[in-house]
Amino acid sequence: MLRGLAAIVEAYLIYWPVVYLIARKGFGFSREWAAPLASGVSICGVSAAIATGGAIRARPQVPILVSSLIVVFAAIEVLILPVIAQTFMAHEPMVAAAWMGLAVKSDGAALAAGGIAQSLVQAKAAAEGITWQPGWMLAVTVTVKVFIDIFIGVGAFILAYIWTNHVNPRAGAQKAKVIEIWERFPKFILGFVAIFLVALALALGTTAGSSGKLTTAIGDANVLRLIFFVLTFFSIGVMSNFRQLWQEGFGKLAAVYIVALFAFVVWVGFVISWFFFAGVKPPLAS
Amino acid sequence: MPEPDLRDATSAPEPLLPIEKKLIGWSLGLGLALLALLVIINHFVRLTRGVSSVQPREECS
Repeated sequence: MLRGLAAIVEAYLIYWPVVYLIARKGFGFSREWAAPLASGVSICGVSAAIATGGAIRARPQVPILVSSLIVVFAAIEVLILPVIAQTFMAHEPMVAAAWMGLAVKSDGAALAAGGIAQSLVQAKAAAEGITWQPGWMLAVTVTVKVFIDIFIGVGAFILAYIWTNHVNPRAGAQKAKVIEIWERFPKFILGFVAIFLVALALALGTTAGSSGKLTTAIGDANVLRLIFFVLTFFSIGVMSNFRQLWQEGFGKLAAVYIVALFAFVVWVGFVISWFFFAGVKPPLAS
Repeated sequence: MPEPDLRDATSAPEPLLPIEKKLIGWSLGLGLALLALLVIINHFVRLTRGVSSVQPREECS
């Protein structure tokens, strides 16, 4: 719980303002680009960028372009960070696991990185004669990511409020109406909440006999999730002219991402993971 | 709705509004303060819980 709260504080209150400042002051990006980019780099990638884009009334293509950037870099992170974790954190498996959850953007990529880091770190430990129970590292990565994800709605609401009342206030209006904040609020967050409540009800009502069926159902649903996720980015790829984007300055957007991610987010994530998980080990396999 | 052009996004820099400065300052200040508080609480929780959540390294070797 404490470590989950730290992840929320880190993502929303430390990463976000710094990345926003880097994008605005360091690279001169407009608010329309800087806010979705800051949310994408700081919080949880694609959903956060889309939620922020809706909250600040950015043009629809802005969060989509930011999302495609996030996915590209998430793939790079999945390849690099678990290897770094194995090389330098083989004796601190939970630090490595939390680091994957904090540093790798996009949920799917973070879980993939957590799984790979778990395999690599446990293999190295096994070579030294230490065998930990499997699953504990991945559970830490998932928990860190879920804690960050559940606040996307709150973050989007706060940004919608600030943008409606202070950044783009309606001419002549003293204060924005609640309906305008509601219009800006990304409604897919409500879907997240509904799914969470349904899943919670199912989990609480699960008996020992039905848990096997539930696992199968989750597996089937996961296949659909993966198909739609792939289709989303296939569509982004089909609709985007990357050569033209590059000529228009897409490289500058990528530069913000690289600077923010590799010079700040990754290292701060490591330090905070160390503060909260150093010395914590998974149980030994009997 | 016009297509967003990244050249427009950076060609005429928008100055930071006071509300943006306030948002950045308050977020960072609050974040650092809360993080320090959580680190301290985590330290004391570990001390009081002892070895239940932290296995000494000797056990693993």
